[in-house]
Amino acid sequence: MTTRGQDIASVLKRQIEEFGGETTLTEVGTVVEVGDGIAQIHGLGKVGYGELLSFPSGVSGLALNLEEDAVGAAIMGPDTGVKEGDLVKATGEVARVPVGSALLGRVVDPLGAPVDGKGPVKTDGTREIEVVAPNVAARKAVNTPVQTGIKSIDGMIPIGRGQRELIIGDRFTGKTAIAIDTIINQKGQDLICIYVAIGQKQSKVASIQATLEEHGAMEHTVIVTANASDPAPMQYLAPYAGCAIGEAFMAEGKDALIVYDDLTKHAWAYRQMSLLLKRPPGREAYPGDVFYLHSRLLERAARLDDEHGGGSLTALPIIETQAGDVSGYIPTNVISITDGQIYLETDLFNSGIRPAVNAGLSVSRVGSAAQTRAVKKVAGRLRLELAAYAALASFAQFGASDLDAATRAQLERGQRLTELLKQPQYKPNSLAHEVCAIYAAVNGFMDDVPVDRVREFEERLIGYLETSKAEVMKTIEDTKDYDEATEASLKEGITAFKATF
Amino acid sequence: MAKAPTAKRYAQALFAIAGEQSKGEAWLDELGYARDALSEPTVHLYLSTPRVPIEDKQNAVTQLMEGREPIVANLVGLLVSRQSSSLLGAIAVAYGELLNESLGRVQAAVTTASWMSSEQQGRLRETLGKMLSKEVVLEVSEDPEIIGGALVRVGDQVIDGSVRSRLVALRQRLERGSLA
Repeated sequence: MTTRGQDIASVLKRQIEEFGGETTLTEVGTVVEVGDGIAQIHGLGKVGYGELLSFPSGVSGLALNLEEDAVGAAIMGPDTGVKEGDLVKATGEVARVPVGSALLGRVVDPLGAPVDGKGPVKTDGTREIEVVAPNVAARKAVNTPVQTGIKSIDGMIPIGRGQRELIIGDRFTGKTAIAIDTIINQKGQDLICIYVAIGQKQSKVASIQATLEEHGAMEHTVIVTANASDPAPMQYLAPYAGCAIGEAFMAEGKDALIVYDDLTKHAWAYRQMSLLLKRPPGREAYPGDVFYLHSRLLERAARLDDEHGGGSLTALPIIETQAGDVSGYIPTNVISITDGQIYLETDLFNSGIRPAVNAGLSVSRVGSAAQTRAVKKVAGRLRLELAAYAALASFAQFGASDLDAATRAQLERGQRLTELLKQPQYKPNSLAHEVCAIYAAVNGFMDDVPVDRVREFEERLIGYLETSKAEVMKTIEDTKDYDEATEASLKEGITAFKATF
Repeated sequence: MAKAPTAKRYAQALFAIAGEQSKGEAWLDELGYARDALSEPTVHLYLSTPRVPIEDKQNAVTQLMEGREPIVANLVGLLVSRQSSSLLGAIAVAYGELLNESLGRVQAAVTTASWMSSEQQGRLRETLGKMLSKEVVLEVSEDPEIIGGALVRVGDQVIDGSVRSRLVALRQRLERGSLA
């Protein structure tokens, strides 16, 4: 401790000796009006758009409206300390966040300040919050999967690294659960996760952090949070800050995944700021540039080519709909920006199908290019079987007694597949688990299992395979594919297990 | 602040006329006189009372500006007729800025902790003049709160050489723990 004390003393001594060395020329203005987190400032003639301002109370601001004599600024912090007549200084900088692997396991606010009480974050670098997305020449096609560990998504709506896949649904349909399961499934893998909470309850963020910690998933995760009680400008900045943190990993050649939970509240925060800045309101009172707000954010998700390090940033934006209405302004905007959507439905959720993915309305525009060969082999049939089942199911409601055998078989198969795709929360499946379970189902091994015992069958089958056919599981996990010999061995294992079930 | 651009336009118009008649400097004093006269409490109250007819207000202002520069008197009359006599202060400021700019002059507001001798002021003026390559008009004020040094404000820019701001900066760095 003495050395530390002496260090401080010597540094202080130098500081005092050098005291008064520098005088600086700063651009200043005067606050003429303040309220609702917005300050009107007279002066600041040479300030730039998006430049950070510094108020005497210590909070910073963001110059957003540049007029002839005045600047409209959003205050990023409590506005109670800002008074009329305060001298505002321009900093000559744009907003930046600290980036790097020191952030892993931490919870930070949109300016990079830790809010988890674990002390300062010691990062090596910073990155501008607003960056232009990588251009066409720097990108390459999405071809590597993000393994979500959720059978219905990996099987039917595959997500590729560098893709933007929207998770959309009403409140309480398990949108966040899908994102959290995906993050948990990356444990021990090479995908770094960033969870951006925008306008959420602090209790929800705390419980997500606790869940991730409990499953050992915080080690590869950064949480960026601007809570419901934070000022709108902070909520507005949060996704861009999270994105900058993700881009830094991408620039290092790593793969990162970012969840924006949720962009509806982000649009609300931006609407509030825009209206208070007296920008004209448009449809649903959103400002004219609300499309650009999200398109420039989601464009930053990319798969870089090998020349640029080959890193990727996958975005999972979340949108909350009202009463299943996807034709609202913000939902249609984000649907058109993203490369597909996972559509969750209240009816499915309430009838016990969880995750409540509507297979018909959910798509991934990247498609099977982002599926491992093993999943591709089994899942191609899964989708077809389910589609056929959906077509027959409504028809069969009028009585299944006088149906022909083929139709009945199709219905039976569909019921079992639907049952198989149900999955409890926080229990992501491994690749081999998914492949083996779907293989057994689409190849008719489950057709004679009662519907209510399908999940038990699955669980015990996987348990059996892991002990008796460990090499099959390992081959699938390692090669992400299976050849004829492995398939034969798998078939043999399933048949052997069925004899005991 | 919505007033500011309007005041600037009036000032520009007046300055253009002044340029034609090359009376720039003299009219600044006239504007100052008019501003002071109109902001005198009774006059101000009279002009801002809606019950007084505009013609009466105009007559009053004409009498007030009797014998002063006719163009400036016209401006005041115009402002009163448009019920915007409160702009006069802002117009005077904007006019002053235009005048300074045309003469290659800048106004520098200097705040020091203690009184500056005229020799010190001369040195400061010279240094600032070199820095900004303009003729500098000093506007000196004292404020013991800045402890020492000087704070110079030129337009929207501030040169902060005060002891107080350096102490504040030092404290912030100590708090942040980024001394090195």
